[in-house]
Amino acid sequence: MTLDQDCLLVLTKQMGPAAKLFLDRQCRYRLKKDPTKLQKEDLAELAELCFTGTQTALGAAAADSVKKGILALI
Amino acid sequence: MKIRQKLLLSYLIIIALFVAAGATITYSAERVSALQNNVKQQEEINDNAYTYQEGFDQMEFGTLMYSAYQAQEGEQILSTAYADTKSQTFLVNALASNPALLAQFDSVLALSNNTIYPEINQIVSIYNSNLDIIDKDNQIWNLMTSIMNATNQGDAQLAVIRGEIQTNVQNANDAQQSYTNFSIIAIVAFIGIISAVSVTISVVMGKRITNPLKKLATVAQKVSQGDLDQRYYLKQNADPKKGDEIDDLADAFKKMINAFRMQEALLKEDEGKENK
Repeated sequence: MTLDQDCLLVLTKQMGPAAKLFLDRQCRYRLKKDPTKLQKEDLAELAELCFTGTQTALGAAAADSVKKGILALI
Repeated sequence: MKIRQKLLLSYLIIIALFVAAGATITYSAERVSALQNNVKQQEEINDNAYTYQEGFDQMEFGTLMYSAYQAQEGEQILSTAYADTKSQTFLVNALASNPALLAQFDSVLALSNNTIYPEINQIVSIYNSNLDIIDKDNQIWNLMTSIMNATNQGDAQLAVIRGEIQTNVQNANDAQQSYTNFSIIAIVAFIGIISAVSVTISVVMGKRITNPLKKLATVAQKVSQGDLDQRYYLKQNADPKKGDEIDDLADAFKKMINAFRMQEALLKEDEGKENK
């Protein structure tokens, strides 16, 4: 499995089918990267971005779970 | 635990209770049957003891007839009394399990074999002898007195034996009656417990399945009306392996609501960018 698929799996646990679009947005607009080209060194920043993006819509618990999940991939 | 496992467990509990009830009923039926057999056996012993005692008395009566020079009647009565060996054999076998009673009965038998039978034979031979009638009378009377004493002694011992046998019959009857009553109460109680447990399990299991579904249906209804905050009312199972299918459904439903919220958030973000 590639790194973006791993991230997608973590996000899907919290946001279901919206995870793909959410990850795509975070990678392209915030990290300025194609999701398929994600590197391990990008994950810390991605975790923070996902935390912020998720917190507003789904709450702190879901955001924390997403952040921890992505950081665990490092 | 999955719903199927919960239902299977409930089913197994009810089956186990039914098996236990069946085993109890079978055991009770066998026990009652054994007690009935015991009652029959004790009654049979009592009947044979009565027959034996009657035979014993007839021996005395038959001998008296002989001594009164009514040989034909005396012989007839004695032959009836002698023929009663069946009861004697039965009692010896039946009392084998009760050494105290058997010892008493053995002493009655000893009295018959060592005193009464030989003396009866002596009376018969004196009666048939050519002795003078006065000598005959004297000798027969002496033997008759001895037989009467022995018969009275044997009768008294037989009365004790019969008293104990009758007590055994009464005890066997009481035991059977008391166990039958207990069995009926136990079976009725068992059926009551099984019914109560079955109904309780059905109600509890029914509630465990229908209550979360009702809750989920209410949440789905509100979500369909646009209230996405309903996800907070859906329980998050810490360990998905421990939850049942309804928890899985609630979890999937929660993810679906989250997806709606995320898409809504992303849409708002897009609209914000466009407005800039």
